[in-house]
Amino acid sequence: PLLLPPPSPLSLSFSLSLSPQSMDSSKKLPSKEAALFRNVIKFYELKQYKKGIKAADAILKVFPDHGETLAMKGLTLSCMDQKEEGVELVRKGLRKDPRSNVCWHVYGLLYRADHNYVEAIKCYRNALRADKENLQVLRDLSFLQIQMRDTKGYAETRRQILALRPSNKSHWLAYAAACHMGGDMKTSTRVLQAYADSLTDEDPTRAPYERSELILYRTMILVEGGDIAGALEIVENNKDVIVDGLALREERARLLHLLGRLSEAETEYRSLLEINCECHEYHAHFRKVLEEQWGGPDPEKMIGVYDELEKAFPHSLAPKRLLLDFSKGDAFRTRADRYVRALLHKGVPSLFMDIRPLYNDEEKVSILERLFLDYASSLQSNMAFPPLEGVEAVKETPDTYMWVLFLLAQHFDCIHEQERALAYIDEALRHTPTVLELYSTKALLLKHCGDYEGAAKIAEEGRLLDLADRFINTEAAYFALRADMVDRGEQTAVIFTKDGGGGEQSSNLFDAQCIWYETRTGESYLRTGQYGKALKMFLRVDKHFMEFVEDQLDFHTYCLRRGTLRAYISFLRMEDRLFGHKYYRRAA
Amino acid sequence: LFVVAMGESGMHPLVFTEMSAKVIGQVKALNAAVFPIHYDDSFYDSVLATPHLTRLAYHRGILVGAACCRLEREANQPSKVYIATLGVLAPYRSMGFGSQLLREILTMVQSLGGETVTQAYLHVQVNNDEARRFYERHGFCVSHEIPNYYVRLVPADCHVLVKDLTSAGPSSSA
Repeated sequence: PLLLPPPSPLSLSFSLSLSPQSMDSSKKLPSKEAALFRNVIKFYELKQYKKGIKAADAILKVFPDHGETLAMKGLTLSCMDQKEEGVELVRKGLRKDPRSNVCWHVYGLLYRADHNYVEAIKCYRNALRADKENLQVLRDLSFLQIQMRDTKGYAETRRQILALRPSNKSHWLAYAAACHMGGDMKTSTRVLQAYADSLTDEDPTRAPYERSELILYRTMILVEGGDIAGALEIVENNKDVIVDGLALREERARLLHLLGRLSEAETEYRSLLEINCECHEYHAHFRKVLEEQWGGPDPEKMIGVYDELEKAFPHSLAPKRLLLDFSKGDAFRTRADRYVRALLHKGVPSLFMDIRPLYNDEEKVSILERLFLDYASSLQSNMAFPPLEGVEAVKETPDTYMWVLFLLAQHFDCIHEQERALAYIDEALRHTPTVLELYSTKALLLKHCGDYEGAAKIAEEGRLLDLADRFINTEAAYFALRADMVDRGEQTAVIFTKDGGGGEQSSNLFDAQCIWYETRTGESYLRTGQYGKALKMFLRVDKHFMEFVEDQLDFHTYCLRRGTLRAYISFLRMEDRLFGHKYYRRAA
Repeated sequence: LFVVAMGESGMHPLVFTEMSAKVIGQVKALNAAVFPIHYDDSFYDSVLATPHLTRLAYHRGILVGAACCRLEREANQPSKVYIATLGVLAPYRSMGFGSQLLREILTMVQSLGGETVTQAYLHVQVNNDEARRFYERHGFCVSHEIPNYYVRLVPADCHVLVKDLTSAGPSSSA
């Protein structure tokens, strides 16, 4: 769901600029009717449709064949639930006055409301033929062009708009963005440079965020155009303008890295890690920079670096966790021992998921298994972990043992020893039956064993433990669907929708764009051979994705107006990749 | 209602809340693990009607103990509080949680406006020495025995343990 409220399909903001040319082709209405015509337009924009119709009819009484009035009346009617009549009238108006840009513009608006952008574009072009410099039509055309990704057309239209009205700053940004989308970085850079230069007289404290975004956007374009040094120069020269402090440092680090100025990049990344040592992206870049300086990967050196980092940031988890990736054998055992018992002591439920990537390494798996089993027996007999050098021996609280049992259950599940896993999870459940995670993990376990009904049953038991917990509700619904209990799945899922189960449940789930639910329900129908229902579900997913594409339309105006260009461009690119999204692929 | 009590495990204070409909499943799971008796839905319905007479005890985010009481007002008799259930999960016993729960209940009962509660009482199976000793430590005494109180348990008899609430002031920490 978008942050912007969706406009109702037909009420489009639209102002007809009545240039002298259009006055000509309106066959010279006398002043009284001309004033009425201006009112028709005004009433349309103000959504006072009844008044608009009255004014239009007043003109038509005297001039029944006035094309533009017919068209405007038609447009107004189409907003009043009389769409067919409206379309007819617009067509009639067009027939009467085929060279009126107003008529063509209106016709285009109708097509746009119908999401028929191809035809709408054609209409707008016709409108422009009648009135080449109609800014409003040009703008409407441009938005449809970018919606349809006609980047060449979009750039050309945007150039015209800029030429017509260079005083409007968003026109500059729009043209630059258009060139950017079309891959023409050079022009984009020139445009932004010219625009930036024109700003130098302005008060620098005005609109700080937009200025900052402009700099960062120019940087983005320069990098894509291959001029990394130029990008860095802009960043350096405009340090004070960039208000997004973190973005500034990240850009600097990235650019220095790209330029091969590795030791400076390293310094930048180190200072970023000082700000946020948990950010794995920074770590990844940092490691690359180091490895490039060393001429290739060097695990020993890396361990040394991270040992230092760990000492520098003793409370940070990331260095400790990453060291588990780099180390092997006995060193791995010691580090893993420290890491895991600290998290068990804290009672962190997500511990297993955190270390799961290590399970690709058989040696590490058996080391971990030995560790976990030792923990279990030690905690069971002494309520304490086995002694470890450098670690203070403390009495553990009783729940720590339960978390170890929980960990062992997940461990054995991961290495496909389901029976042992089940034994451990059941013991954990007997120990502390009030912990939600035990139930959802047992459900997962049973699913892995192929006992889908058992899984659904235990997930439901877990759900009852906390009716306000949305996550366990989702799990219970999911397992019900997996066990082909479609009704139960639906009943469970709707508990957290707007009406909470009464009334139109399905439509609430649809509005919420609950794709996982639709996909899983569809798959359940597939399994039970109800192909029609399955197809219905998958088509819903398709509809959601079409909506995602449609919803772009509002953002073209909004982002250009606000100057949030970096976000806008990456948004457009996300939309370009949309149908590759794994949710879509799964349903397709 | 959130009350934090520092007990023996000062590092991890117990957090007390009242029962609510959304977590009733947790309480059912706890009671099923702790008590040999099964409490049916009507029991929990009546408990939910007076949530202020319940206390749930959370240790490090996990529900480990729960207590449910009833106020009994008979004609021309002073009010009594009946402790219907009070239990702590087995691995979490001997940490003072039961005592804290009981103190919570008794404090709550004695700060109820509008009536003076003169007595607290409960039933303990005759062979449950551990429970009986626990309550005796907190000032309860065995008042009498009821034969065949428990329909499905063996032994079926129970002790009635009683504590007079009028004598001292607010319960002193045991």
